[in-house]
Amino acid sequence: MFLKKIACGLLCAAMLVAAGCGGVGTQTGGDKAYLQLTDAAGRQVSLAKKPERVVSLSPSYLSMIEAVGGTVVGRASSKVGKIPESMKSVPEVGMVYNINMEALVGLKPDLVLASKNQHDKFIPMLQSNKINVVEFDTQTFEDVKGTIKTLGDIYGTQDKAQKENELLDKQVAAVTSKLPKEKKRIVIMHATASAVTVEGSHSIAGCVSDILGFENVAAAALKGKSNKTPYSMETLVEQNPEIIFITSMGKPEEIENRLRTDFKNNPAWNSLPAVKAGRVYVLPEKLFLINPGLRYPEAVKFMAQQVYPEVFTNGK
Amino acid sequence: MENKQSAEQTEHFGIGRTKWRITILVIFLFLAVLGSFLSLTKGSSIISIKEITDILLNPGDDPRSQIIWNIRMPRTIVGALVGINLSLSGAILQAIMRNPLADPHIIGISSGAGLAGVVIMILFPAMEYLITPVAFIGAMLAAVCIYILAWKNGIKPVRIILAGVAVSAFLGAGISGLMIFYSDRVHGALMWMVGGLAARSWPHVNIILPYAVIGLILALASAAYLNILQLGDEMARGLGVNVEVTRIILTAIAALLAASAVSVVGLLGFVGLVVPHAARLLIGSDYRFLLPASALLGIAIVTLSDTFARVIFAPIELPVGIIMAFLGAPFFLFLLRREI
Repeated sequence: MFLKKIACGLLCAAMLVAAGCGGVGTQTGGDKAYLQLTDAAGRQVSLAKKPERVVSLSPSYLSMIEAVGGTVVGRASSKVGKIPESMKSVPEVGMVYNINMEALVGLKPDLVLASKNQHDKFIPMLQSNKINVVEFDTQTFEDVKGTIKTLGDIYGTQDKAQKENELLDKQVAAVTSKLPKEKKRIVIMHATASAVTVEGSHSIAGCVSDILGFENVAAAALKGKSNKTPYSMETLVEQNPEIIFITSMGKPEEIENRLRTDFKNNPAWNSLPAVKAGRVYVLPEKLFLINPGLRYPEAVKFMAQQVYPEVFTNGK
Repeated sequence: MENKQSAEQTEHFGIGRTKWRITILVIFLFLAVLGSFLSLTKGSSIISIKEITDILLNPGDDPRSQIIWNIRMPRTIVGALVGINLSLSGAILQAIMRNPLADPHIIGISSGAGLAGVVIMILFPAMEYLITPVAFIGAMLAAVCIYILAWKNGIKPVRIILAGVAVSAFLGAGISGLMIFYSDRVHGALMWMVGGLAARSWPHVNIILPYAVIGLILALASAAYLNILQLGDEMARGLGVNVEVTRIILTAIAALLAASAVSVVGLLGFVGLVVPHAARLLIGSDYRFLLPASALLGIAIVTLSDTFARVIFAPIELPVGIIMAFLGAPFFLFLLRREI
């Protein structure tokens, strides 16, 4: 990786010199470029001028773009997740995973916002069309705030972005301040009764539970591993988490009912005390599977509410 | 099939043919017992053998009893039964298709069950409890469909295999399509495609057990027919066997065996192809010996692979399908090289 970076840097420098961009070498553009940034994939991106035709390859960025006062000329379609009203009529460039490059390039974007891992394969093609790409990673709350900040930089609306982030922080603090000071032992699993898959801190639900100060019993074993990992049920029984959260796909109520009966009829699941005690909560997909973006505080509140319903009974 | 005879005529390490076969059967039996024993005694929670014996004699309500009785034991049994069903199914199909590549994939079991399972997981996640029956129906429908497509004045094994490839590709496209359009939901579907034994418990044992028992009895009872079918249709007819009827019945048995296994654990394809071959290389093509040998080796491979999958990165688990391919493929190649 490191060598690659060096090679990349050298190549860039060589190209700059070759193009006659002037003798400042690697520091070029510091005062010329509109914006220079390092994106979530560690790529250096330099925007020569303020982008005017932005396309978002991930629908979950749209509400954040709207919040910082930005606009897009194209977006990916999605079967799940909400698209802001004002962006519904914007031309679509295919499904998130399966972007239609012709439609995308046809929109003549000057900046494409992509999702790390999901869209890596499209980057070389975009670069060969001389289209700038910024990749984001939006699993954790910090990621989301970082994304908003970067979007503010891109659209030149830093103040709006900062306000938005302060608002998010305040909303999250409003939830966490109400919680009793105790460390609930929890585990987050990915829905399906036929596999045992846990999520660590680098997932939306994992990050939310960290914000709430819960102890994720599986976190130690996962470390930096990918966010969904098959896990031993035996170890779960031994670790005995008090609460099981389930990240779901589909309608949460149906899934909750379904899982409860599935669990009841399966002695293996029934060995978990949390299952016996009925402390299994389904997390809705719109907040915990696809990135909630601006609704992160909602996700935080949702999870807190499941565990401490008594704290959140009055009003909000 | 020519080298079958030469292989059978040679003596193995100076032992007579029957003695050699019985020795192999005993070794496979030992491996099957060893696999089941390890599967029961090893896991991410360390429980001593003495403790396990206590728990087995006096089941209690404590976590360790729960682990042994409700997690490990049913999982071991499901694994063993799946091993039996898939290996028998593969062994039967290889005889009736007279093709070494025949396995439960080829008659559409995997793709049928795969598509049905993925549809449930991705489109109707709230109905996941239906996954076993629906996958079973999907598997059987695909198998019937392939049989009908291959029918043209009777059945030719080659036509079944080609129809199987076509139908599998068709259904596979459906699976890929769903996975692309619902990319957020693929995780469960992927686990299903790889196949695994996590979270399998007594209800799954109940589902698969009758098929395993009946399938095993029927398969052993038809060993003589399988031996004859291997000789080719002409020869079989000459010996007074109704080839079409026999083939339909045996395909149905193989399909039921594989479908019951696949609908419970997902697409564990490898066992059905490799185990009968490995057994054949060691014991010869006489189905009276090959069938029990395949069943025993199937138990051994699935339980050993699953134990490995659970222990190697504990408490993180690997799906057993991955381990099976990793360990099984080189072993199989080794056997193949030695024989040729």
